Amino acid sequence: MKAMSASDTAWPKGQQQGMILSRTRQKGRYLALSILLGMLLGVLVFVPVVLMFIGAVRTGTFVDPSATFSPASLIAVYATLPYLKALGITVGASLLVSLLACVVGIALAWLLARTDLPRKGLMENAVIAPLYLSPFVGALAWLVLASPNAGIINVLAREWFGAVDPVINVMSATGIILILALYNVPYAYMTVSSALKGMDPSMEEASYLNGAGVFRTALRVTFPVVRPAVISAFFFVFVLTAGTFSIPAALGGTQIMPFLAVDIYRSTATYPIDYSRAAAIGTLLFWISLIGVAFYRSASRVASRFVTVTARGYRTRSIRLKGWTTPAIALIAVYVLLAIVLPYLALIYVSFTSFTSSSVSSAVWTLDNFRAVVGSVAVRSSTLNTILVSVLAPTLTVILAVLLAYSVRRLKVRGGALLDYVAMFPIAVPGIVFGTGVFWTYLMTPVYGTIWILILAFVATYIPFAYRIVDTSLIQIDKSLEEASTICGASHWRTASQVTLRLVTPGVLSAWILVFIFSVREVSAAIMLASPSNTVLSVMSWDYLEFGNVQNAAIVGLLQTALLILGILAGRYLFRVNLSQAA
Amino acid sequence: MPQLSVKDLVVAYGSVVAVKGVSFEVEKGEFVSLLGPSGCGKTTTLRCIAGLEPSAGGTISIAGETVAEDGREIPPEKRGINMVFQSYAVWPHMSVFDNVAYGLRTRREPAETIKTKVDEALRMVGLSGYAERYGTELSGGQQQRIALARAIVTSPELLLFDEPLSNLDAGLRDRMRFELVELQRRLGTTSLYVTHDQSEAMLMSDRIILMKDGVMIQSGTPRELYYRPASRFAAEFIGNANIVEADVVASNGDAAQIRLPGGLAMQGQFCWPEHRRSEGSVLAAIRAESIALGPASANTFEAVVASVSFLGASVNCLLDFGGFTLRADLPARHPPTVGETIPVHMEPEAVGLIADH
Repeated sequence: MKAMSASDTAWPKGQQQGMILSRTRQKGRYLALSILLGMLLGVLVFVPVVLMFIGAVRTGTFVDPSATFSPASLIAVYATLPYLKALGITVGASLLVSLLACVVGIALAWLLARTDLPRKGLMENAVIAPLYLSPFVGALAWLVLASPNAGIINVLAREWFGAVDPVINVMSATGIILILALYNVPYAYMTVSSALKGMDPSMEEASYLNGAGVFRTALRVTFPVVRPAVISAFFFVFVLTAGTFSIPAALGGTQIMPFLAVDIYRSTATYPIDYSRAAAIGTLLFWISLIGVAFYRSASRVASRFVTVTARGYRTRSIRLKGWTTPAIALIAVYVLLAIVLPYLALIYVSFTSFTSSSVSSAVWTLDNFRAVVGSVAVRSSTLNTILVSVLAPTLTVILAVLLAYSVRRLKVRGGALLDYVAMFPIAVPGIVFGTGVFWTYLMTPVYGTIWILILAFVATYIPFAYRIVDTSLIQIDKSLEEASTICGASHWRTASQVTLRLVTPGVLSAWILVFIFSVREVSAAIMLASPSNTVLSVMSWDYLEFGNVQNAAIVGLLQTALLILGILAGRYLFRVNLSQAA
Repeated sequence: MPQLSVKDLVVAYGSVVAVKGVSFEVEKGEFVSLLGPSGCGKTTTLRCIAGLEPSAGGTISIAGETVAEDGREIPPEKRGINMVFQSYAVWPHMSVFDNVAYGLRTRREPAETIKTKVDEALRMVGLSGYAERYGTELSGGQQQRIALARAIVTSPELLLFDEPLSNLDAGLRDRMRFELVELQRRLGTTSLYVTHDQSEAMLMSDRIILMKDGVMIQSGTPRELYYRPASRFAAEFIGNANIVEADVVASNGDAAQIRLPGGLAMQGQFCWPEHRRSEGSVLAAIRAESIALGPASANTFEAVVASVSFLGASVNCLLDFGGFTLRADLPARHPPTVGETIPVHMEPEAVGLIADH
């Protein structure tokens, strides 16, 4: 287009008119595309949020003929003590979790990016691994490990050392905060790590040559330069944590530590069921996320200004840890042990031992429970549902993301900036809040109660992640590669399909795998939309836990994990997806 | 005692040996350049001297103190040196003043001394009045000046430059070259400068060390390297000389009679005594500007003009001598035309003979 307009004057009159004509026609077509995408996104993203706000001032659902408008729920949520207390605790705990996750994340990122630790690749994968696993299953496993009475650790302490009181109790405010922090460390790690890797190594070298040692350089140069990235990681974790349902719900619910996300669920799951109150709490949580995202965005902007990659790839001087090597490896090992090894060992232990075993050391190993659960009709159908949802949701999300990114970046459709904004908007909406909105939106439609309502919710929740990845890989394609194709006489469509799409394929695959992982492990949105006919594995595991059947919950959790690992391995080895790039 | 002494330096990355036994010395107050094409090991050598890269073998001493020997290394912060980086490496979170004061504060110098020294350093690089600004608000050239002020303010035993001007625009680069040299002469700081730009090295250095494939090729003053190249690589890399293979017919001391392809006889001069020979093949290095129009007492030939390129001050002509061709820079006024046969000559001293293959 650009080349054409530049040479306009060189063309004969008639031909020039024809070109102007075709260009206006094209603009018209793009406008239609823009409106179409805008409407699609609007229905997917905005309608549920808006209807949730309307729901908050209703006395009942939209299908309830006796329902009227009333501010009762809003007043109860925004102005009475139990909810204000929950608000305070949610915000306070989330801030604490972000702080802990960032401290550990910074330490791990610095160790793996700057020192001479051995086997860094392996260690980095181990640190990131919890990202690909379900935090809910992790919480479930910690319940098995460290609940005050039946927790394996406490049982062993009694058996071996004769401890009278529980030595560790994960069903406490401290426990919930620590487990939340544990599973958020990878997010902090990845943000800080990419800032450290993107930093010009000469900045630190200049400090050494000015006489500063390792410690002073880290404190006076490295940390200040990555500080904006640390702040953005802090608020990212804050938003994630404030909207987390799975871990606080699994480890104690409202009794031990009130948490807004859990309150939303309780309003719809325990009597008296009050959908309006759920919506009202949803709006409250929505505001918190919005504020967190605003902080996150401004910090990210500063962070990208600070990152200065040089053209020449000189290796950063590795700091010799010498005597500190062992403590450093120990730190990483402890993290991996707590986040992955112990939890999954615990899950395997409960799943494959007879429930009647009296002590841990003399437990009888058996496949009976596992066979019974996996063989049951309910688990089979929810496995099938999970597979359907986790294949369809990423596929649709990625198609939408490619359409969006191509329209905004390449076709430069009118209103592209607005489309970009709307596509990124769901970042500010926690899954459980979105679930509430989707519930209000589709209650009166036939999709309610089918797996399609889950898919709708997932596509809307995950479109920002897929869109960002595809958009980034599209930006990285040199425009001249496409122009070369056009100069060779290829049509617009042929250029798009033969050059552009081929080149963004790695990004598209990364996005698919990421949304696949999210879809398999999602609990909060799924639980708000669950019905007997659309149960997925995560909801099933949650239901077992609610009814006190930890063993079956663990078995279903393992099944879900197996599905996740299968998907990741397929992505990694069949499609060669670079996962650390994806997330 | 030299200010910097490098002996048998070897640097290896795994199985790749980037620097293969390099030895040289830099005297106090001297400005020495490491020159060579990319990948020749010049930056690696510099980074080893800085302590930013581990060496696999050899010795490095700065101001009489051994800083690296047999893999034992003193960390960069304890070497008493400073460095100007290609990417400026101006810390974005500090003001210009804080950037420059950093090294002095690390040494815990008193605040008044720091203020005096930083102000003086900023004045020298022409940045007085910018002290409170942030480095990232300034232009590339100004950032490079901050980096320079930061490096000289600590009065280092040795100042290292890693292609400091290569990220600047051509015009600014030319100006900065003169300023840098002027500043170095005034302060008398021993300097080692890495560059791939031969005109930069020629203009700035007391001495140039030419490197290729991790090995030192030749070391000497800019004049020496230009007029007395010791190898084909040196003759071509510096000043891009014409190189013609020839046979020695007779020789007397430095002077020699050679036969060129096509049977043409020419008088030349050996660049170095150790290259002298009375027979066998040699390379004749002839600079384009030493070919002149018209006949002379010696080395006069007829040549056919194959092409003429207008360069402004001169024309670059490809001259066919029947058997070999030479590029010649001739005056742009009344240039020859293509196809014309013209008489040219070159002084015997300008035909450098090199025994190198």
